[in-house]
Amino acid sequence: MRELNDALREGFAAHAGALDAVGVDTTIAMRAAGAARRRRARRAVGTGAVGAAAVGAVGVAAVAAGGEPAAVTAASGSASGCTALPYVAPNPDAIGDAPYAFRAYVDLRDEAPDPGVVVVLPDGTWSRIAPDAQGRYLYALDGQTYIVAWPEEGPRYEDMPMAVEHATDGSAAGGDWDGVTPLVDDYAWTIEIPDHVPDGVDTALLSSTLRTGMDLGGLGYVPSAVPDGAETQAIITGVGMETVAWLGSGSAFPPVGQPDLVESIALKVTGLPGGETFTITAKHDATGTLDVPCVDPGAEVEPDTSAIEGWEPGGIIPGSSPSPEVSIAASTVRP
Amino acid sequence: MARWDGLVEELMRERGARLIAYAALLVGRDGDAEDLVHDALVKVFSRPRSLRSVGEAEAYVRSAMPSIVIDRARSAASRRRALDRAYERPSRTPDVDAGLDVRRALRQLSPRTQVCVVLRFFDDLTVPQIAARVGIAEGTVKRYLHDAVAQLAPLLDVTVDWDEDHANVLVEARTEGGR
Repeated sequence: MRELNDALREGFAAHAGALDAVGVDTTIAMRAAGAARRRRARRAVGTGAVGAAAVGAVGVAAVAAGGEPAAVTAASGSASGCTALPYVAPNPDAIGDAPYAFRAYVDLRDEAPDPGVVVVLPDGTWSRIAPDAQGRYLYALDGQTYIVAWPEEGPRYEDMPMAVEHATDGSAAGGDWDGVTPLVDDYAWTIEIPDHVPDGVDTALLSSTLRTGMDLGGLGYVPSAVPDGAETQAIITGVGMETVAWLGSGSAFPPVGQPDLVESIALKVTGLPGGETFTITAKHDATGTLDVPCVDPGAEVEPDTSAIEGWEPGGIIPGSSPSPEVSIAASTVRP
Repeated sequence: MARWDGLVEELMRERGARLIAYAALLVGRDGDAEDLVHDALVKVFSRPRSLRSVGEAEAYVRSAMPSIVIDRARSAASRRRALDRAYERPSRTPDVDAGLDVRRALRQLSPRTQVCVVLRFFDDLTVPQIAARVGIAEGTVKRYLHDAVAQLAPLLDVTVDWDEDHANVLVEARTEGGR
C-alpha cells in the first residue's frame, strides 16, 4: 500500500509527463505577461500619485528610454498616403470619460532619423519637446506638468523607443514601439456612455478600467467607482462567446482566449439603489485598424514651456529617479 | 521584449507542464490549474524581481499558488470569477487521464484543506510552515490535515503515517467491503 506522499508525487509526475507530451498552452505566458504589464503600469500610478500630491495636483509620470542605438528606417507613413509621420493621435472615441491626457512617442536613440519626444493630443495637435537642463522632457497641459521622459537619470527600462499614454491623474502606461509603425489599435474601439449616470457612479474610473479590456492600458477596477453595495461585472461578447466576470479591487478585464472574435466589452453595474443597472460599453470594429488616420504636419504646435520654467516636482530629488519603481513606469500595452 | 517577458515565455515552455501539474494538485481540474498558473505568473511578474533562472522563477511561481487558492476561497467575488472562467473552458481543457485519481480525490476536499494537504504531503512543509504560508492558525491546519487524511486514505488506497507535534494520525485505507 502506498503512502499519501508517494501517491501525490506519482500523480504529479504522471500528470506533468502527460502534459509535457502533448504540450502546454503557451498562450498562458502571453496572457499573463500582458496582465503583469498592466499591473506594473498600475503600480506606477501610485508612484505618480505620491509625486502629484507633493506638488499640489501636478501629475507626474516618468519613463526612461534609450540605451544602445538601433538601426531604424524612415517613417513609413500610413496606408492611405498620409504624411509620413508615425505620430498618430490617440482615438478620442476610445477614451470615454477616462482621465486621458496625451500620448507620448519617446524615441531617444542616437541613430533614429527623427529622435526625440513627440506629444500628441487626442485632437490631433502635436508638439516636439526638447529636454531641459536636467535632461528631462517636460510637458505642460491644462495647468499640469508632466515628466514625459527622463532619459539621462534613473533606471532604464528598455533599449527601445516607446509609446506612452499619460493620464491626468499622473499615471502612465505604455511600452515598446518600433519607432516607425503608426499605433492605431485604439481606432478599432468606441466607448459608449449612457447620458443618464446614476448617483455615485464614476464613469471616469470605469472608462479607465474598460480600456484594460481593449489592451490599451488603464486602471484596474476601483470599487469606489460605484456606490456601496453595488457590484460590477465585466462582460465580453463576441461570435459564439459571452464571458461574465465579477471584478474585484484592482482587477483588469479577464483575458480573452480569442480576441479576434470579440465584438464588445462592457462594465455592468448592478445593485444600485432602486434596482437600477448601469452599463458602459466599448464596441469593437476590427476594420477600424485598417483606416490609418493622417498626421497633419500643420497640427504641430509649439509646446508651452513658460508653464514649466523653473518647475521642480515636489518630493522628487532633481537628477534622480522619482522612485525605484519608475523603471517599470512604462509597460507594454500592445503586444 | 523585456527580459522578464522572455523569462515568462521560457518558464512556460520549459516548466509549464510541471507548473500546471502542481496547480492541479491544488485545484483539482486542469482548466482551473491553467487559471491558477496564469494568476501566479501575474502575481510574481507584476513586481520587479531578480529571477536569475527558470528554476528560480518556477519556485517563485509555485510558492505563489497556495495563497492565491486561499484568497479565492476567502473572496466570493474572486471565486465567482474563477468559476466563470472555468465554465468557459471545459471543452478546451479536458482533464488529462494521467494521475487523475489523485486529483479527483483531492478535489473532494475544501480548497483550504486541499492546499494544506499539498503543502504537507507533497512539499513536506511542517504545520507551522503551512500555517505561516497560508495565514491559517496551526490548530486549524492540523484539523484540516486530520480530516483530509481520513477522507483521502480510502479514496486513494493509501496509508498515512503522520506524526507532528501533538497530532498523531495513523490512517489505513479500508476496502469498500469493509466499510
